[in-house]
Amino acid sequence: MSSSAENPTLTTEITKPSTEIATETAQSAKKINLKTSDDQIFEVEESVAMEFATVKSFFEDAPSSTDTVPLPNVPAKPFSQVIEFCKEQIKFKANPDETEKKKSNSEFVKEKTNEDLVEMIPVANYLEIKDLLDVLNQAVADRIQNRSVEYVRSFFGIDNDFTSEEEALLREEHAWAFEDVDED
Amino acid sequence: MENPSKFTVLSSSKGNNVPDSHDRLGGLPEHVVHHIISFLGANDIARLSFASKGCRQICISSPYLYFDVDFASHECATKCSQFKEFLSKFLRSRNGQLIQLLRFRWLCDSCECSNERPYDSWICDALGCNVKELDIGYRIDEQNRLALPISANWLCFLEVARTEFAGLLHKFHLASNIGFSRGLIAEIITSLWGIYWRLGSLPAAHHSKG
Repeated sequence: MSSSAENPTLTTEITKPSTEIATETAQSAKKINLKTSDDQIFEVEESVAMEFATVKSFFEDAPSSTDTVPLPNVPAKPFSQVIEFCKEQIKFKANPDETEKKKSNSEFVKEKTNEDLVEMIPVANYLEIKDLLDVLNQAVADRIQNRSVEYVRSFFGIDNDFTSEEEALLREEHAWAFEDVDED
Repeated sequence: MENPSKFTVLSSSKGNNVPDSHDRLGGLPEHVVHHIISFLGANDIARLSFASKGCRQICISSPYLYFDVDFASHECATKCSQFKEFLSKFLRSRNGQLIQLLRFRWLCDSCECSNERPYDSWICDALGCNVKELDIGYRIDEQNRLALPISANWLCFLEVARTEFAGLLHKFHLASNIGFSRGLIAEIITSLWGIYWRLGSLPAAHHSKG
């Protein structure tokens, strides 16, 4: 996981006031501080933070307690991308447009690396952002679709715990599954 | 960490299974992996199950299964039997865990394979896993008539059944223990490809033999 020092763009990007969101939630421009597992503080609009069901229920359970909410399972790097997604989603809440939303979602995943996508999944799951989880799981499935076993292993960082004999046997006995696979 | 009470609140309900290895898939909760699998195409789940022993376990328990094989007769012998063995073993390893969707396409030109009707046992195994949706396709000809091994008892478990047939459909008869209305059979005959029916539309406990 990257340390805070080597990622200067991260904090500037998040803390700068987002004009689009500010106009929509003018009456409640309240900010919430969220602290990631690697001790970075993200100051986000309340409306964005309420997209995280986990954070929302935290405030519902303890409305008066405030300042900084720790997110012990959430590293800063994927979290900044999750915030990026939620900011976009909020725009569609005000103006529902399924076509535009789909387009925006597919653009969001298109520019993400495999690692970005895979790192965001546990964050989306932990924060219970259902829409994002749907988008990520679909994107990950699309990327491993029709790929070789080796590609899938490196995609997820899976350790091959089959012995070379077992692996050879698997390949021999399941030739049908290894056919017509896209090149890595 | 300086605020232990909040830490507890936010982590208590979820179970922090942060992976200590770099295996990103193994670190995800099972339902998330199954959700990913639900978007996979034909045979991707088979390849995923060969990635590691852990992957195999999580694939076997997946409620979403999709297999598609198309064998030309000359190469049928080994591959066919390998696929049959794989799928039977795969379905039986599930020990009855619920299947949301079983989709398979089985196209083999060999008469020998067609007469064997391996899909009957796959369907039965899937029914043993209380499958909700069956989407099956296989070649059908004179020797190999349509007869789904589904009894009326299973209708309540199945939400959707969908079949597609390849090849010529000369005659077919339906498993005699299900009643199909004449209208429904006519509908099936009308279209050789992409036959689709919802069991919900079947008259319950109706026993007119088509």
